[in-house]
Amino acid sequence: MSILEAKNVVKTFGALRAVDNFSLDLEEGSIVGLIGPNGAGKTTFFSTVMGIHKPDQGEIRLKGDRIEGLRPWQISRRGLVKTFQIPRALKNLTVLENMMIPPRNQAGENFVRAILRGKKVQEREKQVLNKALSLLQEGGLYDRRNDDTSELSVGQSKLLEVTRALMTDPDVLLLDEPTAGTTTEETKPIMEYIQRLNVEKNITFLVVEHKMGVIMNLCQERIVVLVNGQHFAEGTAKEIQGNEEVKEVYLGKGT
Amino acid sequence: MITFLVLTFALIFTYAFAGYMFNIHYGFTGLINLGIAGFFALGAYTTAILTTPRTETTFAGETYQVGFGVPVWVGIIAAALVASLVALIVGIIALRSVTGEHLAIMTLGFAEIIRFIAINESWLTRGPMGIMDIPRPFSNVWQGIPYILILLGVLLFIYFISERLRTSPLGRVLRGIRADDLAVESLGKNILYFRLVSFATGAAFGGLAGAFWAHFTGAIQPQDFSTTLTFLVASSVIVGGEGNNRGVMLGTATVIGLLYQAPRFLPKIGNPWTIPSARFIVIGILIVLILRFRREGLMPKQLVRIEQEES
Repeated sequence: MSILEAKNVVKTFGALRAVDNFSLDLEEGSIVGLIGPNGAGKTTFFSTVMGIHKPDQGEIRLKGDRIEGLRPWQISRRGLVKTFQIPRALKNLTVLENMMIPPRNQAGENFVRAILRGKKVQEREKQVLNKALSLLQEGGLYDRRNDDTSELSVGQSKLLEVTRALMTDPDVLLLDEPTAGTTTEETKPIMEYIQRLNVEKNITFLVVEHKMGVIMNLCQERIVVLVNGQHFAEGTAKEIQGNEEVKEVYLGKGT
Repeated sequence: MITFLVLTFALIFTYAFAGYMFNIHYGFTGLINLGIAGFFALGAYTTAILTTPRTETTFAGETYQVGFGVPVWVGIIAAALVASLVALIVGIIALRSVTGEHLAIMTLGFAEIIRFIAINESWLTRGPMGIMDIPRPFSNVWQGIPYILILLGVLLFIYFISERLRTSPLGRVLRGIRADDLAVESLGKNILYFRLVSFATGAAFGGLAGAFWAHFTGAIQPQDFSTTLTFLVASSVIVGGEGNNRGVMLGTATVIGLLYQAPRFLPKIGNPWTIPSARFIVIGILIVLILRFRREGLMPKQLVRIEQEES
C-alpha cells in the first residue's frame, strides 16, 4: 500500500520549473532514495510535500488524504515530517527542550494553565519528558540532554533533527541529507539509526543524500533519480549504479 | 528630592511593565513590536476615560461629556483587557502575513494611529488638551510613596508571571518560534496561534503600564505617547538582555534611572536643553556598544533545564 503519493507535482519559481510534473509513490515501510545533481529540485520537492511551498499543480496524498495546500503544522500532525538539510536545532533551548516541543495536547501550552501549573500540566509534562528521555537514549543523545543545542557537533545536530521529529510519532520521514557535513565516524550510526527506526517503528523514509555510499546502502530496494525537476530514472541500488545515463548526468559525458 | 525619587521610580516601574511586554513579544517570541507607545496609550486612555469624573468640556466650539467615574481598579483591569483585545485584532490582521522587520514597521504605524486617534477624536479623548483630573490614589499620603510600593508589587507580580511563562511548555514553544519558526511549524505547532497568544498576553502588560502611569501623573496628553517612549522601553530591554526577565529590570533601571533621570543632577552645560538632549545620544551610544560587544545584553538568556528525577 502506498503511504505517500505525489502525482504530477509542479512547483515553479518565476520562469524556473523547479519541480516539473514529478510523480512518486512511497510504499509503506520502505526506505526510498531520491538523488539527482545539485539544483535538480529535491529539496523543493520535499518542501512542497511538507507544505512549506504550495504546489502550482498536482496532487499529494498522505495515507489517502489530499494534503497539498495544508500548512506544515497540519501536515506534521497527519504523520509526515521533513528534516532540514541545514539542521534547525532551536538555539538557546536545551536538547531536551527541543525534544519536548512537538507533542500535541500539552496542557501547559494554554496560558492560564501554564501560569497555574496544575496537576494536569505536571502529569502531561512528565509524560512528554519520559518520552523525550527514552527517545534520546535510543538516539544516543541522552548525555547531551541538558546542553544548549549550539554546543552540538554537526553529527549530533543531524541526529537531534531526526530524533526530535520522532516526538511527533511520524509515519513518514523525509530526510534531507541526513549525513551531510558529518564525519565518517558519525555517518554510520546515523545510517544504522534510520534502518532501526524503519524496522522497529515501521517508519517510511524518503531520503535525499549526496553521499552515494550512504544512499546505495540505505536504499537498496529503490532509488529515484530527479533531473531538472523531472523523473529521470528509477531502480534498485544496483541498477542505478550500473545505469550509464545516470552516471552521465552526475559526472558529465565521458571523453 | 523625594518628589524626584518618586517620579523616577514611577517611571522605572511603569516602563518596566512595558518592558515585560516587549520582552514577551521580542525576547521570547521574536516579534519586533515597535508599537509599545500605542499599547501604553491604550491603557492610559482606557483607564483615564473610565475613571475620571464626568465633566463637560468645550473644545473647538463643541461640548463633550468625558469620564465615567468608575473605581480605579476597574479602570486598570479594563486597560489591560482593552490593550490585549486590540493586540489580538492587530495580530490577526498583521501576523498572518507579516513578521520580522515588516512587523516592526506595522506596529510603529499602529502606535501612530492610536496617537492620532487620541489627538483627533476629541469627543472621546478631549483631543490635544488631554485628560486631566484622572484620580491619583495615595498622591497626598507620604508624598506618594504608597503608590510607588503598589507599583513595586505589580512589578513583582508581572515578573513572576513572565518567569512562569518563560519556563512553561507555552514559553518553550514561544522561545522555539524565536529560534526558528519554520522548524517549530514543521513539528506540528500552529505558530500563528502561539504568536497571537504572545501578542495578546504581552499587550496586557503594556496596557497596565499606561494605566498605572496615568493614575500616577493624573493628566495625559497624546504627545506623551510618542515614539520616544517606544525607544526608551525597547532600549531598556535590549540593554538588560532581551529574553531575560531580570535583565528587563536591570536594563530599565540603567536606561531610565541612570541615563534618563539622573543627568538632572549634572552641572549646567550650554543652554538648558543641552543635557536633556544629550541623554538620547548617550542611550544611543550605549545601544551601539551593547549590540557590538555584548549582543545578549547585560544579562544573557538563561537556559531552561527541565528537572529530571535521578535514574
